[in-house]
Amino acid sequence: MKVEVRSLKRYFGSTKAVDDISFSFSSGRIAAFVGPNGAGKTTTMRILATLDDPTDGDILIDGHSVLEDPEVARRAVGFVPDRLPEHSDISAHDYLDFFARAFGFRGTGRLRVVEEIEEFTGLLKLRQKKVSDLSKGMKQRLSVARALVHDPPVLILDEPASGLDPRARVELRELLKLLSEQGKAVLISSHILSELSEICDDAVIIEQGRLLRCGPVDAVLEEDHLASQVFVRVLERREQFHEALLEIPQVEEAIPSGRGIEVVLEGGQNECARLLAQLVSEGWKVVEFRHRKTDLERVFMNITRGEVQ
Amino acid sequence: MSSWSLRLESLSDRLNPVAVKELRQIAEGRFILFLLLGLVGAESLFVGGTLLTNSSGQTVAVGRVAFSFLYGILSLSCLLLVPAYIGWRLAAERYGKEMDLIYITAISPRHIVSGKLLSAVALTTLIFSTFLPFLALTYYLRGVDLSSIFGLLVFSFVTVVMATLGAIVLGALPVSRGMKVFLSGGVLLFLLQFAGLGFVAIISVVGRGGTGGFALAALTGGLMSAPPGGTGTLRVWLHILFLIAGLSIVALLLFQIAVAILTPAAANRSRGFRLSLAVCWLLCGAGAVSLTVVYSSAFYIMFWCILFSLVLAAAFFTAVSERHRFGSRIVRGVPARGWRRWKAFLLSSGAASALLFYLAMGMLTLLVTFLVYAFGFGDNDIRDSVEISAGLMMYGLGYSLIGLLILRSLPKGRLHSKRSGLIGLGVLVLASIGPLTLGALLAPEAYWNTETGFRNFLMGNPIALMFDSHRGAYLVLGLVLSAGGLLGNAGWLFDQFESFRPPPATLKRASDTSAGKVEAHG
Repeated sequence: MKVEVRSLKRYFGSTKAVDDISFSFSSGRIAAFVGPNGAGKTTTMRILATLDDPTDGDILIDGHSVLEDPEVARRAVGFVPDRLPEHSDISAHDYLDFFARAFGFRGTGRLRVVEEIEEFTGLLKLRQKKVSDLSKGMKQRLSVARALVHDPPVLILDEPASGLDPRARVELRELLKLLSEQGKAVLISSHILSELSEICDDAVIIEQGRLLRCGPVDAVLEEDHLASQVFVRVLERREQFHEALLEIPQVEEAIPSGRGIEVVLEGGQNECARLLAQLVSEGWKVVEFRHRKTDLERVFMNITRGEVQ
Repeated sequence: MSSWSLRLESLSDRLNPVAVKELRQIAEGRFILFLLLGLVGAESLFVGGTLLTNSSGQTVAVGRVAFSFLYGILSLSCLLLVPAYIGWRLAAERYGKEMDLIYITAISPRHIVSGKLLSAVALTTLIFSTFLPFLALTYYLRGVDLSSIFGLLVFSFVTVVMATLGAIVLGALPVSRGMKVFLSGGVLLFLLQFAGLGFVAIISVVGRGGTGGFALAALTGGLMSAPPGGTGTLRVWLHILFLIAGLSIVALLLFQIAVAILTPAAANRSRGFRLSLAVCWLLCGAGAVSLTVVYSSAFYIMFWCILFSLVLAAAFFTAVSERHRFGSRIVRGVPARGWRRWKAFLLSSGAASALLFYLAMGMLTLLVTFLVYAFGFGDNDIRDSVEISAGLMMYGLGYSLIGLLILRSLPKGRLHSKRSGLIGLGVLVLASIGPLTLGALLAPEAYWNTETGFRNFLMGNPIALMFDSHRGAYLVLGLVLSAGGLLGNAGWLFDQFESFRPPPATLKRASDTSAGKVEAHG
């Protein structure tokens, strides 16, 4: 199963919420959809879920256009919105039962599916509680349960972790990993980038409706030349070493930190290795050389400007 | 699970999922509970009060008075509350970013609309059931007969269902909340005028001691023009039949409009509406021709002709707002050639096919009416109806085509094709009031000095067709408008028909089922 976003555009008057973005993600992998507020993440996800129409472009789910064959797309996609739409006067069980009916489950099959989903998402004990009375975390679980009722091969989650307590977040992470292992294609947006780094295979970064970067997480991190940072400690002559570092062209910054120096240099891991070799060849007694791993959060901070439309 | 529970589950499987959900929410909601309790309380107080104040022996009036008031409360409360409740819920479900996830399930738009309607019927039944014991009591208090009670309850029930269908259409419309409130206000005013007057008329007839048949006759007479040739029983029932047919048509068309609105734009969303309209047109036309022939009265065929001319004139504006290009999903199902392609063209969603479909229906309407006249059934009134109908349709066609032409002249992507009808309506409004205003300002003598002077400034206004003295000239204007519109869009219309062909053999899309990676395009 492959989801392809092709030259997608969505304009609201003069505001370009989504401006010609293209990327794809596939089954068995979790893709992080990252961007500042107002970047166009929710709009893209809503189009993917057939809740909105693009101004131009299309999204293909296994070759089926969400515009031309929305019915096919709806069977293939499970969508978890950032906020569960208000549902008064209905219990969690009846809510899930309704969606099971809506996806064509009948008789004992329907009862079994609903019960399995309730068990899978830990809602069994709360099934008789009204949706409006559930806590935010439980509503989020219910939303995930609803999205999974018809066992869709594609799962779209818009800020599923917002408002969840640490324990619920860990459980959500485990759940997503499990779903990915089951072969589902997962696209998840979140502001908690440190968590995304841990579970995501791929990353898509957008800002002001434009695609900034996308690909496997490692490649995206590697691509971020600006952010290579190493901690270097020499045995002696620290001040002279600091001055020498600042003379090296690829070194952008060298800031004393504790007993060593934090060095920011242009380039990726190759540049780090080259720097170490140069320092050793120049006779510096390097006793510590630690590459600080660039994470998604740092890449995000480096390449986005935090501007909104 | 017991076998009894299994049987119940199996039974519930056959029910509409939306109706099941809505009914569960109604059953568990406090609003409906308090509403029902409030109504029962009000009824008890009212009937009790009536009995106490009339205990001095005027028993004949008691039942009649009590029935009239109870019926009024029942009808107005249902007419206001049920459509508002169902329409508001639907509108809330479809509001922008709050769009309910029900619309991205596998459930069809037809099931959604029928589910909402079923729940409205259930709610109305629930409210009616709280009134029934008290209404039955009014029968025993004398002054009103059973057929009146039954007939009037049926009428109220049908009116509420119709109003609910209207509310569903309004709730489903893809317009802003403000516009929905504005439109709802308009519909409410119409309902209060139409149904409210009907209810008042009925209550006054019943209040005067009329029987059920008389009440219904008064009602039908009030809603339609008086039956020609007296008010014999058969005529009365024919009028009731006409009324039922009319209500059924409106209900069917409203249902199809709501379904079409909820259907994805890529699907052939207009097919159901066009087929329903054609069936209604055919059945009503057959009925109207038969009645005209049997009673030698032009009333029926004239009514049919003008009614459908109005519907088709309005339909032209919706036609030009349909997609200006056939979607790939429509084109995928086009038959290769021959009459099947023509048939598919007429029943496929798209502005060009819609225009042709409604144009064909309009011409057939005029032809049938003219043939009835030509065979000697009816009088010159029929000729007037044909002229007025033709004029209405020509004005509708002309203005809608001008809207289409204006939109197509704009740079691509400037305005969505669905605005074409709105532009056409704008031109209609301008052309209707522009010359009148200019006439009043620039040529006040010609405008004000004679009683009919203003009629000379009605060019562009379809109302001009009502005046015999000016009809000829304004018909020519309508002809010029529609012919001009057709000529201006002829190339585009032809291209549309030409593009309505099956696509070249489509390549089988390769589907990548293996695990892949995120890729950037472009």
